[in-house]
Amino acid sequence: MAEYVIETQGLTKRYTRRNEAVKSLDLKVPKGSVYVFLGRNGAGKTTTIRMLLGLLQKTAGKAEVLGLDPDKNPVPIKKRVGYVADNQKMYDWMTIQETINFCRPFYPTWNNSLAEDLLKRFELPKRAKIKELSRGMNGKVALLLALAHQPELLILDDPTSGLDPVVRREFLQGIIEIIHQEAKTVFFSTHIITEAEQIADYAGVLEEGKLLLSQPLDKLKDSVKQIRLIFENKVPDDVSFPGLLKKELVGHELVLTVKDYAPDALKSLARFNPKSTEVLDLNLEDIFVSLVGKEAVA
Amino acid sequence: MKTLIWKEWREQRLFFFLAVGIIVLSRIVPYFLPKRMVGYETYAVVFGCFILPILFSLFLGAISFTGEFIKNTKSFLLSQPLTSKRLFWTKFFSILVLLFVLVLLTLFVFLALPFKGTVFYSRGDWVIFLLVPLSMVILYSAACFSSLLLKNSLTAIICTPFVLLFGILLVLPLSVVLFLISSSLVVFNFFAFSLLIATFLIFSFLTWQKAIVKDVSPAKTIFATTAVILLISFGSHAIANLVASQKLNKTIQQAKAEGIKLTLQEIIPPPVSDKDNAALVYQQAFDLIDKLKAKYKEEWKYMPYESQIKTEKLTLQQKNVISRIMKDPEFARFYALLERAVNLPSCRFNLRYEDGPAMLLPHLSKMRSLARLLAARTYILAQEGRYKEAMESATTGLRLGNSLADESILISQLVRIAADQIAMDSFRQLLNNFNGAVSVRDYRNLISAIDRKDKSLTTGLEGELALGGGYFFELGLGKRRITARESEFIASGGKKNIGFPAAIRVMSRSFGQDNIGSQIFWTIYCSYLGKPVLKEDYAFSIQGYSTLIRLSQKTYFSAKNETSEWERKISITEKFAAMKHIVSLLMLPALGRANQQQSICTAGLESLKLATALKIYKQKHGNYPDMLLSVSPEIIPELPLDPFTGKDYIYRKEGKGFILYSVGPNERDDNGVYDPKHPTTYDIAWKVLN
Repeated sequence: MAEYVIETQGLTKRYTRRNEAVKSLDLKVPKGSVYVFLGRNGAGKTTTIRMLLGLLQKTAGKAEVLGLDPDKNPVPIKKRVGYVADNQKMYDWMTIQETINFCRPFYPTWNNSLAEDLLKRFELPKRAKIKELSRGMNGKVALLLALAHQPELLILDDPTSGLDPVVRREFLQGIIEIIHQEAKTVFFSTHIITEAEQIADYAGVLEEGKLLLSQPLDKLKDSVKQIRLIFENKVPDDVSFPGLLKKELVGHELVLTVKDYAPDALKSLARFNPKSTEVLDLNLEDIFVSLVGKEAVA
Repeated sequence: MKTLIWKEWREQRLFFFLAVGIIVLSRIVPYFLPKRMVGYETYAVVFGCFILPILFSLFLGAISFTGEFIKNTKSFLLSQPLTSKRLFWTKFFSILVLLFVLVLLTLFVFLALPFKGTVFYSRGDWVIFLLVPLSMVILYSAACFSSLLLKNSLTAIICTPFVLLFGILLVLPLSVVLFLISSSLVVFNFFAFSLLIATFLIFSFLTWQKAIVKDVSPAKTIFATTAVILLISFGSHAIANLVASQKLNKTIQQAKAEGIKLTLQEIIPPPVSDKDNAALVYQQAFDLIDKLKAKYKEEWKYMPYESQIKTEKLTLQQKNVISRIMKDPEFARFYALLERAVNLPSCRFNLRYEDGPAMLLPHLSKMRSLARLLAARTYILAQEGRYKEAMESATTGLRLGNSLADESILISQLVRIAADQIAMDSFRQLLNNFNGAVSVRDYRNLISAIDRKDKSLTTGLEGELALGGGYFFELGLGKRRITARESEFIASGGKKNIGFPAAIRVMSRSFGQDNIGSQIFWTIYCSYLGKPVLKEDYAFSIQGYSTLIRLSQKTYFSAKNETSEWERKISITEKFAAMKHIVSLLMLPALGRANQQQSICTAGLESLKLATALKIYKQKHGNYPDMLLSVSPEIIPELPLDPFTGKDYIYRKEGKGFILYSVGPNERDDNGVYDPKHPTTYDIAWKVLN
């Protein structure tokens, strides 16, 4: 268990009989990794994270965060985890300094100099009231509060949602800096994939409460490929490939997206007599769209 | 913790200062109001003790938790490494302290600060400073629960009264049990307040844990908790009811073993044959009197019938008028009827015992009037020197009361005592005027009439238990239905169809508390919820009546210590005990006084017997004896003792006559001073001049 900071087995959250937000989730987040938790809005990312922090009671299954059960030990988990909620609202009547003063006594590992350092790095004015801050600044304060107590695990729930691209980049830069300096485990949920790709080394894709895949990012990129077949005549109807995710037909050209690509398997396509066969690499966004897009075969 | 308290203070401080402003402003307003518009005392009580504290409690309760939802800061707060329990309690108590400060400040400003030089608070009112804040804690807790459930301040404020009612109904059965087991009102209040506060706290905390912390619907938890509380509440009530039933049954069995009559059926006297029934003869006498009244019209006003007129205070001319009426053959017939009636073995007037306290007793006033008429006749006869006839008339008067002795109604016994007193007063005059005109035989007749007198209230007390206490308790316990006569009795109060059970209306009317508050009280008291209290009260009532009946059979002197101990026990000043035994105590104290009246009458009768014996002694020996002992056993077998001291009556020769007296209920020798207007103040004396 020690190699994973987050591990769940059959984790399920059912709000009502018909509304099952998370369905038997088996998630493993290795220690020291930057795990990007991908999913469309409403896929169940926030519900999962809230269960991991003990903020929501699971309906079934097991969950362990830093070796602890969130339902039984929410407080020790929260002490060791830095958490930035989706669109986190703090007390808007407090100043940044008051917010820091408010949170500090709750964490025995609070590092004042780190907090000061982060204040400077994020260029946050201490005396400014939360309600006066831009969304980006607000996110930075949330990140500062999540980091200043030197957590072992940082859980960020879609921290850049609602931010404009410039602020998002700025915010992301802050996270990247921290990750590189502190070598922490980061569990990062987002639906904006391009930014995740820059920092993540693991990825999990959640769709309608189900984990479609969970792999190291490079392995994912190796296994999910596009195969472009060009035919001279009519494209045969029965073209298939192991782990086929999506099939797109454009004139004489057939594009297959597959999830378990292996060079040897290409031989099986020879019997369809394509004029040319080309294997294309995919970026994370393409992979995500292939996995959760409406046209997906799987 | 500190930082959480600081946060709560910062969030609520605006409201706090606003509230302080409102308190100050509200306090100033009366200075500008026209004097007649409203009394400051009313204003202070309404505003200082009710309106402002209620507003503060509602607002603080409703906004304390909802602020986190409205501003969406709940997630941020809950994501801090603190237990949800700590968050809840810190929030709850921080704001509670604020509320306490505001309520106490309000009470102080309105009640303790002088208004135009007058302070309306006195030291005895400290309980307001305890009860108002405690009540506000209940309201605040209910508002907290309401706000956690509805997650909206305005709706929470609107729904708080219903939430409050829900909580009260939930714990009401348990409160009844606590009422029974509490030793004082303070203890009960403490229990009841704590119970309500605890109920709302449990609901609030569970809702917080489920709906807020874990985002799960609290419905199941609330239903389960409600079920558990209901089970505890009704369970304990059922046990208390069972215990009270057993106690009541045991008390009833014990009372039955002692021969005490508990039901109406037991006290209704057996039927008597018409020829033995004096009541029928009395009825003829009443009819005859009506005829005489019609005949004499104007002159009748001097007759002491249906009026308190004293014959001895009439003018000579007026006395002559009476004398003339008394010489009318119809009046002679009337007297003959009375003589016949007092000699009949039984007397049963046509009374509807089944009507309970609503029973009509028209014969009592007539019997009392008869006693007065006989006294007047005795006086006129004595005035005319017809002492022998006067003696017979007075003795008939003394026997008149015996006709009421079998009625198991306390008031009938009190009328009997009154009739005896009237008859005795006749002898007061006669004893000085006989001078040999009355024979030893006549005296002996008087002694035997006195010996046959009922000298205890036992019969009346037994009836009172069944008619009064037992009657109400049986109504309350649903063992009997209301009669048509009772319905009329209720309706005569002018409030028909007020929608409360008949028993309650009877109680309310009977105790002169026909207002909504008392009706609510009696509604609960007579409902299933009040059963254990009612049974406990009934058991107490039976014990009380048993004690009184037992005491009524003893002499005043020998029962004195026990009586005062009993009086202390049922003292209405012991407010909480009075609340527990309300029906019992509303009736019992009067009975204690009735026992005293009976003893005064007994002392009067027995000392009259002794005075008569002394008269016989003088007729035999030519003078009165030096000592009272001399009349026994020569004239009477044994000397009666003064019921107020347990010693001999005080006797001494004075001039040619003597003075003989009981010291009376004040137990002090007032040297034989007798005042018929204040029989409890001085001695009960017979002064014979010759």
